[in-house]
Amino acid sequence: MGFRRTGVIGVDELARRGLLPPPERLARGPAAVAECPEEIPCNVCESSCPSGAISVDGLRGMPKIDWDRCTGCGVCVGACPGLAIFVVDLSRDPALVTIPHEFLPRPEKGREVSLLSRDGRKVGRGRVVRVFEANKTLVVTVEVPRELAMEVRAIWVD
Amino acid sequence: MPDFRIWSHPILEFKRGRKVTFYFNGTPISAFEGETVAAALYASGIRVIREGAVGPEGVFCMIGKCSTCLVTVNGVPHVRACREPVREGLVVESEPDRPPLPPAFSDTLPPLERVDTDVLVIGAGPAGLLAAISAAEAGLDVVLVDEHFKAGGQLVKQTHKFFGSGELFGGLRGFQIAELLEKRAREAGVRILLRTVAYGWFRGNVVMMASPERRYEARYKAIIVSTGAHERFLAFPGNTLPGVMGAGAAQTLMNEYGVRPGRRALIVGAGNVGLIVAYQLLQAGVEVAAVVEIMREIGGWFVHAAKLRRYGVPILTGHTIVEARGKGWVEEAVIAPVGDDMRPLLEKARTVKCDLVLLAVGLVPDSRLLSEMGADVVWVPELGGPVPLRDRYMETSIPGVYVAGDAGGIEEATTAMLTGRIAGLSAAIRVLGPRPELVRRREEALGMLEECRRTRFSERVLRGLAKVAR
Repeated sequence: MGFRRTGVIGVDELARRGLLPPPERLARGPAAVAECPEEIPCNVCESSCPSGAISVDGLRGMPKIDWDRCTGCGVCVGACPGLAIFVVDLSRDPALVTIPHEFLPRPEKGREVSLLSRDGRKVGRGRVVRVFEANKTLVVTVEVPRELAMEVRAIWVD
Repeated sequence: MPDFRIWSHPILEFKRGRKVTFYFNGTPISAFEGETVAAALYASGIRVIREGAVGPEGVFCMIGKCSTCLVTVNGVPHVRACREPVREGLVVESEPDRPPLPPAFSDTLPPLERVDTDVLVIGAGPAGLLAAISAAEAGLDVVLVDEHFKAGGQLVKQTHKFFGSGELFGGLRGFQIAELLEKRAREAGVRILLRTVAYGWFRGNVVMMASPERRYEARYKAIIVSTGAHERFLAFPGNTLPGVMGAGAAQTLMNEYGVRPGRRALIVGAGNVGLIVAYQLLQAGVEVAAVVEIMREIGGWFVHAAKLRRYGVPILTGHTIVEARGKGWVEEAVIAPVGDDMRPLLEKARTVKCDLVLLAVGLVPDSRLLSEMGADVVWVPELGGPVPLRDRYMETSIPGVYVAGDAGGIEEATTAMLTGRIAGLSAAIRVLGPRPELVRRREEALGMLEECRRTRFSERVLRGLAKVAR
């Protein structure tokens, strides 16, 4: 469990825990990815999902996403108190990643922003294509080079 | 004079009152109504509260629990700057030497009011609010007191969204939960006395309380003590320098008063408090140099750590602080990895430029009032320190005296709310008898509490709770 030492979780670790959608699903369109590997007593994502695609075992458990039901709308991204849910869309080039964002200045649609990896490295730049707000959390969809779609998990307006 | 106030923030809007001027050691200080003296001083870049025995000293807790901010206000000694609202013309003076207490001045005491209530709740944090709401909704007369001029306890400075289910306010931000609970308490008819200190318990079930305007002699049928906790201090050279403070103190400054506590912070402790405060510092525009954690693993939830790492903040596990240095206030900190014996490896030490060292190394239950009342209190490391024995309904060794929230052992806000609800219902059952509806609701709350205590942090808490069960 290296992530408990580093604060950074690897894609392989997410896959091992069943937290990643199958590649063919990702290629079909936007799908939510919950990077929530511990059993937190929380089910906010479950109650927020308009498609009934997320289930949490009681109050406690990792979110289980039914990717056939998930439409990739991003509502859970703005609802998750741990800011741990993202939406990845590999049906396009560049890919789209939807990210929770709680910093000023607010990223506006059309703006180029820095793309940050899970360990805070600037790995590229991308254009913001959609922004909406959920109780002060901005849900920002940004264009990301396809090969970085599983790496980029934050943006910075600079 | 520098201005450390935050004028735009991604989550918060700061509603500042009228501009006023007060005096600190003769220097005029601009402030806004709604700020405390301590917050206004920090907002103006003043961090030295007094010249102490070993040098300049600043503020540690910011929430009225410690005595680092004692000042003389309008001639009255030993006033907590962190609890004193600014007013036009206030004269505030440092206390380099400890001034003597003033002689008894019984002719100037504010008027005394006798309060007779069913349930008296001490402390209006999440536990106290839920306790008061539960008892009042059962039809009882409830008085809730808090020494701060706001209700909500430490919820008022929590800007992150809470875990939980909808029923436990999951998804709402802490300060939003505080607003909601205060509204519910008032709607339920709870009498809330703010800026009121419960300063002593006396035989015959009397609690003496005082606000600046009035004294109270309160009698009750049941009492709930939900007095919270205070932040733990840490021993290292330089720990008295201004800029070394509790992580919660920095949170109070930036999230309650909209004041940046500094420019660049080192956080000591990667539990949930350290991780959350570090993220909130970034939101307030304060740089975070690093979070150091003496254990080999991060203490808090992974998702809180991940939030921080994404913005490039290093979390150094197996590291600790060795020393804080600076002239007048913190200018740098020395950190080092620790060996298997937890001692710092000084040959590998390095310095970190920072003007803030924030200690997030745990909390200590504030159970002093219960001790004074004669409740059996024992030292339980797993619960953070001195805690009262209690049964599963939160009744202490004294019948009719209940504990709720962190005063009974350090957990978090959701469990505080649940123990508050249980204590409030227990008080109602004591006064009204075991009405089936009250008993059913209490069992329901006990079930939810049990569910919340099945996390990775619970094992230790449950071990502690086993030691205080009666």
